[in-house]
Amino acid sequence: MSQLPPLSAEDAAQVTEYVLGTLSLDERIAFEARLESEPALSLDVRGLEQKLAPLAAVGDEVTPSPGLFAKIESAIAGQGTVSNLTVIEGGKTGRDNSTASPVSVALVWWRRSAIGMGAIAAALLVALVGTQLPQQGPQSYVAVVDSNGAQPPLIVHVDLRSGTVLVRPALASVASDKSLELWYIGANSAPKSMGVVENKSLDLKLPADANKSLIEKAVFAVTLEPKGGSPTGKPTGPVVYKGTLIPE
Amino acid sequence: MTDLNLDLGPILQQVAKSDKAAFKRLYDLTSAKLLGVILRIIKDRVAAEDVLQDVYLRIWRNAARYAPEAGSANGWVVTIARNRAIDLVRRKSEQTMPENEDGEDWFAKLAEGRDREGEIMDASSLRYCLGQMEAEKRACVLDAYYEGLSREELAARYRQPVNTIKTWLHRAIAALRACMETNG
Repeated sequence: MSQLPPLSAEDAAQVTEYVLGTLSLDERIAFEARLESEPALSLDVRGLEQKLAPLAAVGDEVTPSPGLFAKIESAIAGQGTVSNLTVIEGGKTGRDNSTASPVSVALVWWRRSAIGMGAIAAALLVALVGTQLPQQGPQSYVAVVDSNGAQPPLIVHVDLRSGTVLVRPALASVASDKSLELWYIGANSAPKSMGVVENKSLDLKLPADANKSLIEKAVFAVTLEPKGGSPTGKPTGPVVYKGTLIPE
Repeated sequence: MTDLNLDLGPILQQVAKSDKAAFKRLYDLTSAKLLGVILRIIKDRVAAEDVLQDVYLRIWRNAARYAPEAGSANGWVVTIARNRAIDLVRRKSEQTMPENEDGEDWFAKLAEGRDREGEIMDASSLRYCLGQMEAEKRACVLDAYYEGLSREELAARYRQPVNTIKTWLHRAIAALRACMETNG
């Protein structure tokens, strides 16, 4: 028997529609954020999912394309290139290993921050470049950003040599009346917009005052904004990704 | 190829230890079933296979998080697949025309379901409790589950206002859960 207090009628309704899949996109994103921080809710959701799971067993099978497993293996091994990436790695399972591909891009493991970076967060470490580019050490960083299913993954590639950031959604897009906007949040600073993430690679310049000494405290965040980005210059929508980058 | 007739718990526990052979075995056992689940919601084959890849990477990454107390491993796996499919379908602003598959067909399939799967995932009380629902409400719930229809699509299919659909779903699932509590 559950020892948790019963959910309110509103929450029970949300659980029902989340599990069935009928919440609108915005509602779904907001609800998933709650699941991260409300164990009672999460438990209830998992319980209902399990109860309905036998339904999935009665459907027809469809054999996947022959090369599919190889792609999965490749993604796990970190040999995929940005253009082929459709999936992400990361999380707090302790299986972190950054495998730097010598060529261009490596899959990097996200590590959830011990400090706790908010509802939907995959925390990475960011190395930022200031006016003086470091001569030694990693020159480029890649992260595949996952928000635990609330949004399609993003691939973020930071190149110190040119001071550019490439951001690309890995799967299909955001709701047609919304945009994802990328923010750089330096320590003790207000978020600075780095532009709207479209369905193509976005070359961004790191802010000129991005400072390597503030590595541990700087954060990239992505919020869900009205189409075209925030109208106010500050984040107005919910944070759907938040994290930092690990060097290759 | 066997699908969900086998308890995946032990295999999943091996996957949690980064056992690649176990992961391949899991894939061989489940990928066709999961692609079927995803395709009924996503419909586009290419996108569905993208989701399938994503699902297996999540399984690989998160296998250690599966706890048997939380439910069956088979349920865990299909839930990831279904959730990722719904994540994607909710992002599409224009749906393709939903297939005309009747929710009642799904119930019939479940009712005649194989016993072994039923044992593994406790389908018998689900079957019974779904049977207690009014046919139209049940069909609505099953359409949502199997096809990933939105409220608006359900409203169109059942010729009801969206708010009525919401009420149908809330009440039907609340009744289902209460029934399964006492008949589990």
